[in-house]
Amino acid sequence: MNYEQIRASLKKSRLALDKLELLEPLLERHGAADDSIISEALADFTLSLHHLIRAVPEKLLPPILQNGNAVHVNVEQISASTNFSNALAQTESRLQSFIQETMREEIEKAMRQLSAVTARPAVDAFVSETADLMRRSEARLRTIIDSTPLGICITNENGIFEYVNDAYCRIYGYSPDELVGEHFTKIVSPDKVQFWRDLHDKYMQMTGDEIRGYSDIRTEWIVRHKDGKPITILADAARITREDGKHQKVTFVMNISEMAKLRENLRQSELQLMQAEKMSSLGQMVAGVAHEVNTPLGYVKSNLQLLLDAQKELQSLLALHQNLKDQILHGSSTAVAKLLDEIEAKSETATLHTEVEKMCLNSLDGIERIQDLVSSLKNFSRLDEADFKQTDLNENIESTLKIAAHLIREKGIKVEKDFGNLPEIAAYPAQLNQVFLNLITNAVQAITHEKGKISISTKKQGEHIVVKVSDNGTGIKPEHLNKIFEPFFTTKDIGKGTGLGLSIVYKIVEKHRGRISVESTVGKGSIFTVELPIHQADSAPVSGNEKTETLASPFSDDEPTKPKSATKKRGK
Amino acid sequence: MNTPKSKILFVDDEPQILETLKLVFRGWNIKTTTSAKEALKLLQSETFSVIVSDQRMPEMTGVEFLKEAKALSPKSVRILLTGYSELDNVIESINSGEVYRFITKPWDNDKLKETVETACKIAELDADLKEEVEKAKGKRDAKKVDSAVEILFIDKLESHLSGYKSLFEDAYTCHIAQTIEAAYEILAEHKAIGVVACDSTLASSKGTIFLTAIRTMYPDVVTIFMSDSKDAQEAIRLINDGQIFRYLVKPFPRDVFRQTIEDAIAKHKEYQHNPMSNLKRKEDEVMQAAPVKAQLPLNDFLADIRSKVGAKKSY
Repeated sequence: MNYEQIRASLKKSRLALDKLELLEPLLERHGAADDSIISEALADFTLSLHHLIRAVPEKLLPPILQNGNAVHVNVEQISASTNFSNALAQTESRLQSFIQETMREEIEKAMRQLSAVTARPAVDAFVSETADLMRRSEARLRTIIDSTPLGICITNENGIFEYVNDAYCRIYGYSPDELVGEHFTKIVSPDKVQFWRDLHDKYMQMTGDEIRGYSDIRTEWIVRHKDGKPITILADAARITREDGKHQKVTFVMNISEMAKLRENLRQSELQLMQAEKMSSLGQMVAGVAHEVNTPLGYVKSNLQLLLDAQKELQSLLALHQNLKDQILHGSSTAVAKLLDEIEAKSETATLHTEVEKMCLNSLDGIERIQDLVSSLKNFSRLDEADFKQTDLNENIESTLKIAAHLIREKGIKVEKDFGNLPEIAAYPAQLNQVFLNLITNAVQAITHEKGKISISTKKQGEHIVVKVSDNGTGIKPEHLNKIFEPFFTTKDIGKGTGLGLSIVYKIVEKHRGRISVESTVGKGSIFTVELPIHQADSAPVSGNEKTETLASPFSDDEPTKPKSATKKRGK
Repeated sequence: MNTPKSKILFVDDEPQILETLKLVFRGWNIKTTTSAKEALKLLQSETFSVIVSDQRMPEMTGVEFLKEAKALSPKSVRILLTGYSELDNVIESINSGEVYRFITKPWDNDKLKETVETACKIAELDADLKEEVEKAKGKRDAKKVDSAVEILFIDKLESHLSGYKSLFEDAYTCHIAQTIEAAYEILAEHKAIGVVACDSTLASSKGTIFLTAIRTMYPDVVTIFMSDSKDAQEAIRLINDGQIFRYLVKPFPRDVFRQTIEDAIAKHKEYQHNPMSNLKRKEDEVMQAAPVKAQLPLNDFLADIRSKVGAKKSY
């Protein structure tokens, strides 16, 4: 059996079959339009089948093809296999070009049909619909951006405005035309231009990592409205990168001028309240001091009037003695005797001059008391000194005790002092005096019994100075303990205290980077402990956040940002 | 000046003050102490015509001390000699009726002596007239006991006046005046007025002196001052010159006002029954005050009073 031949014949049959299958759609479409190609393909197929049958041994064929039935086909006419192959190749290339031609026509026809179906209006509708959607979305975005109270602007690397929204324009009072294309420092005060340029440059040059950790812009700033008025804004920024790799800065600003104004009003009223508290304690102090001064003044004045009386006594006695001398030298003995009687009688009644020395000594003592009091007042207020200076706390407490002496004496309170050896500390002595006066007067007021005792101790403990003021008064209820440093907390009757005393004490101690604490037992008394650091971290104690210039210290009597020196505030 | 025989007690916690006072009152019958408690002990065993006390003292305030002193020795005339007059103290001393005079340090020796001397005479008058008064009492009572007391309110605001009036018109005949001039005429016309309450809005120097003047002309009329100005000096003038009965600080509760007026009416009746309970009358008698001519026009009358007050040689 010739397998070689069988395989070849099978291969050819398969190819012929493939060709017929390929031709099938064409047959369907064109009918018998091109018979010759079909019949040639059929002939190819039949021929290859014929070859196959002849290669297969007869006994393997189905009975119907046995006995030479299958070989009726005149094989000889078509002859050699080479010719067959050539014919196949020819039909193949003809077929190919036919298919190509047919396909081209089909595509063109389809294209024509397509263009006929998808006429212009439809395309336009589609395109405009898409554009409309985009427009609406953009309009929505723009409405949002323009109606937000948040001012938004985009600046390029050089700080030139590329975009500003409505709110941004409203905040600064410009129209978009007046801003876009201009440098953004148009909206800051002229003296701050360089600062802002530097900040902008720095921001634009930062690496991505640096930007992420950067929050210096995110805060309050004071900028300038078109009319020149300062406005307070809250700002934040983001950096975006364009397709060309250049950075842009998007800045978000919110106008908080109203808020800042309210805050300032609040600060002002707080200041006024503190002033009221000061005046209220001053009022109490003045009452005490007036009494303290008027008492010695009372006997000094009275003594001086008495001295005048004594002087008159002496003068009349002197006149009598002068008379006596004249009478002794030139007069009669009876006149002398009469004068002597007179002098004796006068000397018996006019005894005031014998008290002159005592009156003078008492008066001098009184004047010394007044002098002492006036100098403690001066020490207490420190009006003629620099307000921030090296301070001896023991000395301060001593002069404060003198100011409060009348309060203490009035209640018959015993004062125990245990002053340690202290280094001087840099502080605001007048303010610390206010602290001590407040603690001492509170202690006095807490004592309602007759065995009152106030102990004041100072000592150095590590890096701190610890001052303790304790009393054996009524004590503070546990539920009040955590409130006593709050402003307006008071247990006194209305009108008796502003409730600000201890809150001011707290602020002053805080300002010195110190701490104040209280322990108290109802019925036994209270201990207030003030701890002040010996070394201040800076030259001046904690000051307010200066960024917006509105958060400075609540005290009108100090400006910690300004350099402290002995040249400051000389007493008038 | 004759040194009175009456005993005087000085209380001041400052020894130097007492030493000076001893010299000022040398030859007088005086005792001094630095302790208010000691003074109260003395008052239990001795009788003093006049008590002079400091206000700010360790054991108790002068007002507190005088309150206790009054209980122990009601006939003593009480004087406060103080280094600083806080309004609250002045008002308290007026309203609790403890004080004849309020004197501030530093003082003038002669004025102080005059004042203390007058106080001594008032106290002596009390002692001398005691029996006489007791005898005369029945007669006076019979004469005046049933007379109805009328009240005069003086205020700029009509609304205030009608408010005051509505509180009392059921029980008393009430008069109202919006000016000092009107008040002066009403007082001259209605002799039954026993209580005058005057608002501080009218108490410019004219108003204050008017209240003083009322007491000069009608010693039995009890005066009440209603103030919102809180002026310690004014209050001192009102007590020292006019022996004002009460100093009310506005706003005050109705109950307090009602009680004050009732107290004033009772006081007025007491004056009528017993003229010698009236410090002002006693003072006038001691000072031998010249009778006031009631027919003077108001301004002349006030000027007269003002000059009298200014010419006073005592506090």
